[in-house]
This record gives sequence, structure tokens and C-alpha cells, in this order.
Amino acid sequence: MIIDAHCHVGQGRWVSQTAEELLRQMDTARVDMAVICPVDRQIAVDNREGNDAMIAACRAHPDRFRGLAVANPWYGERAEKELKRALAGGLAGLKVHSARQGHYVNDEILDPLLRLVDVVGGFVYLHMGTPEVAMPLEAIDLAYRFPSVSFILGHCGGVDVHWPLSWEVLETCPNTLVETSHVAFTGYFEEPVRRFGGSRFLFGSDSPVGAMEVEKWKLERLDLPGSEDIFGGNAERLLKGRGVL
Amino acid sequence: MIIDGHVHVTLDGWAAFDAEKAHSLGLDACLCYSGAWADTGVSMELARAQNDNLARLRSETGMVAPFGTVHPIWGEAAAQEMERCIRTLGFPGAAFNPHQAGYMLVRQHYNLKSNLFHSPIFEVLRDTRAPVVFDCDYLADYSSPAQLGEMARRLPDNPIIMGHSGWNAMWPMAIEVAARTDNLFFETASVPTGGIKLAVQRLGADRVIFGSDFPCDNGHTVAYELRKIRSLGLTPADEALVLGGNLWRMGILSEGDGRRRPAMPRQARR
Repeated sequence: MIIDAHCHVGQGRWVSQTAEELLRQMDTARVDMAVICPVDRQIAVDNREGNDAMIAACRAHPDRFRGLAVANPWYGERAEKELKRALAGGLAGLKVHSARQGHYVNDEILDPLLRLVDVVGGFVYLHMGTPEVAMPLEAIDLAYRFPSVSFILGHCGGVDVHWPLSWEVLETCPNTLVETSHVAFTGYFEEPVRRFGGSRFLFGSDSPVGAMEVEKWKLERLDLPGSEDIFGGNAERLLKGRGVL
Repeated sequence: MIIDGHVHVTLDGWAAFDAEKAHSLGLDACLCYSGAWADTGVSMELARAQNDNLARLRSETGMVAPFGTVHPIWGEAAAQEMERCIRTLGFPGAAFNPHQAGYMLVRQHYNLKSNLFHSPIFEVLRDTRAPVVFDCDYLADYSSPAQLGEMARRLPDNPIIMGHSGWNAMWPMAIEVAARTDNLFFETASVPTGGIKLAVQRLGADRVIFGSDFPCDNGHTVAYELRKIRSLGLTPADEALVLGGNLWRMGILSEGDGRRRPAMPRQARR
């Protein structure tokens, strides 16, 4: 099964995509399943609206979608309640976008939410690549504090100078994986994939920000070892670990 | 004709120019500048040698549009070198890579002569009205889209090209600023496909410039970046503008450049 580990559904300020539009992209790119999360405003403030949309999309297309919840930690106990509700609704884990949500990625303000994810066996997708608030070597703190939670470093950690920071995180923390969207220098994957194994990488497109077909093609042409894991096996294990696949 | 708007050429072995390879990847001409590590202020002589190398490549390959590079910390000497590039060697433009070269447009140097807004280089750029590329990646301190918007406002007769246009973090800022600044151009290397699509919608295809960062990653980026553009579903006319028409209209190529020649000499590798 081919799984795109990072897509968005919703009407955003910059990019928008309906569930139906995403399904068409998946069909074109021959992707079986997508892990979806809400868009900008819903990530930042309207968390409940975003989570309800993810739950509805997953229920409407149970063979194609799994979803991640959002909860801005600045809402405190309200965020915890919302995350509990969303996880009870079948969402697989938590998407953290510390740049949109206004905290350092390793801020302890996240800890109550991460404890909830830990309890249900979920995983966490971390937006990466915004200096000061969302960088790989800062994310490493979370991986240390929650060793039984799997953390996905989005966009391979950010841009070219950030990628080597992600390799350091992979080296040190076995509970971390790297997602591949927007990495233009694809040859840079080859050595790290051989070094750490395909079990530490996840194909993701960030659709509709990235074009799913293009993001998939860029990895296919590399003939990476462990590509079955990269294109779906790892995401499948994370979803099964949470009990939603 | 495909003109790549973001190509590095250096003498340090990092980015040697291989015309045959560029052609094999589908490129007809390249906007080239040294950029990155080699112009980090190590020596004025190296910068001069790299600019001379670009001049040589232009005449040998017929596919290089050379953009001169200097480090602003050199003050008057930098301005003289830029003047030599544009007025003596006939370079069509200038390029700066603030992040990789370790300087901020405005804030870092207390010596105003090395502050780009007040440096003698600024006067050369203003007087020549040459197109100017600024690498505009992910570190807002160095050369964010907003800072380049201010540069474009202070150089209203120069086309200002945002190299990377904020990359995958600040491309929305690049679109917003360019929408308010007519002489600011959006270059696509490493920008997510959805960002490029929105840039074409908001700014128009005549403000968007294809770039690949060739020869980074051994040239693999070219096919990826071309595929991104071709996945947008643009009209043939708009696609032609993005893939080279806009740079052509800026006049960065010499007469006859961009037409493939039977034998392309390779740059000597050191």
C-alpha cells in the first residue's frame, strides 16, 4: 500500500483542497491512502472545526484517509479536551505547527498534549524548517522526553542547511522519522537512507502545497533501498500502532 | 527556449559549469553567478577570477548570462569590480547571496559603505539599471522577501529577482510583497509547486521565473524543478514566459546566445 504521510484538506488562506480534489490527486499519482491534517487557520485557532473536518473526511472515505488532530497548546486545558475528543473520534495522532501555533517546538507547553498521544499509541507530525521555532535539533528534546512516541520531522527538517540536522536526530533518537516533501536536492537522500535504513523515512507531499505526483516521482527515480517502507510500510506501522488501520 | 534563472558557477570545485550536461537536461541558457561559499569574502581576487570565468564561459558556450558577484564588505573596491562587470565586461546583471556570504542587507555592518542600501555598489546598480538577483531563502534576517521589497522600491528601475522566493517557509511573504512591488520577480527554485501556482495566479506569469539551482545535487534538481512547472497546467504562452520568456525580455542574453552549438566545451575542472 502506498501512503502519502502528509496532506492537507480544507480551505486555507494560501492553499485549499477538498477531500474530493485530494482523492483525484491520489488516483493520478497512484497513492492508496493519505494522512490528512487541517489547514492554516484551523491549525492556529479553529482547532475544533479542523478536527471535525478530518473526522468527517476519514469516515466518508475510510479506505483512503487517516487523519491527524490539531490543538494549539496555548488553549491549555481546552486544548487537552479538544485533543482527547479528536483522538476518540478516530484521529491517529497530533500535528504540531509551532510556527503557526506560536511556541518553540520543544516548549514544555506541549507536554500535556504529547502525554495524551502517548497514552493512545499515536504519533506526532512536526512542521519543520522555520528558524527559531521549528528546527530539528530543537525537536530532539521532544523525542528524549517522550521516547515511546514516534515523531515525524516534516519536510526533512526544512531546507538544505537543515537536512543534516535531521540526520543527527535520526542518529540519536530511534523514535524519529523524516518526511520528504519539498526536498529539491533528492540525491541528498541516498546516503542517509543507506545509513539509517528506509524504516526512518516517509514519503509525503504536503499536498496541495506540494504536487503529489511530482513529490512521488522524485523519490521513485532514486531507486532507494527500503522504498516499500518509505512509500507506505512505515506509515502503515504507525497507523497500526495507533489501532486505526 | 528554456532559460534557467538560478545557476551557480564557482572555481572552487563546488559548481563547475558543464554546458553539455546543461543541454542534456533541457536548458538552452542559464543565468549564472558564483554565489554561495566562494564569494564569502575570502578574497577580492577570487571574486574577480570568478567573474572573469563567467565572461569566458559566456563567449565559449553561448548559453551563459553572467551576473557579477562581489562582497559588499569590500566597499569602494566592490563597487569598482561591479562596475567592471557591467560596464567593461558587459554583464547583464548582478547577483548577491547574503545568507551564504554572511552579510545582512542592512543591519550587520556599522560601516555604511558595506551596508548594501548605502554602499557604493548601490549607486552602480541604480545607475546601470541592471537586473539584480538576491538569494532569498529561509533566514529572514539576511534577505527576506520584505527586505527585497524595500530594495526594489529603492531601485525602481532595476528588475529585482528573488532567488528561491523565500523557499518553502516564506514563499507566501514573497507573493504578497511582489504583488505590491512591480519590479520584484518571483524565482521558483525550491518553492513548493502550490506556491508557484499561486504566484502565477496572483502576480501573473510575466513575474515568475523558472530556476533550478543547477548544478546542485549533480544536476538532479533540473528535472524536478521543470516537472513542477509543467505540472501547473499553464497555458503554453504562460509556461513559455516562466521558462525563459521573462528573462529573455529582460535582455540578459547576448545576440545569438541560447542557440545550441554543435560542440560545447566543458569548463576546465581544477
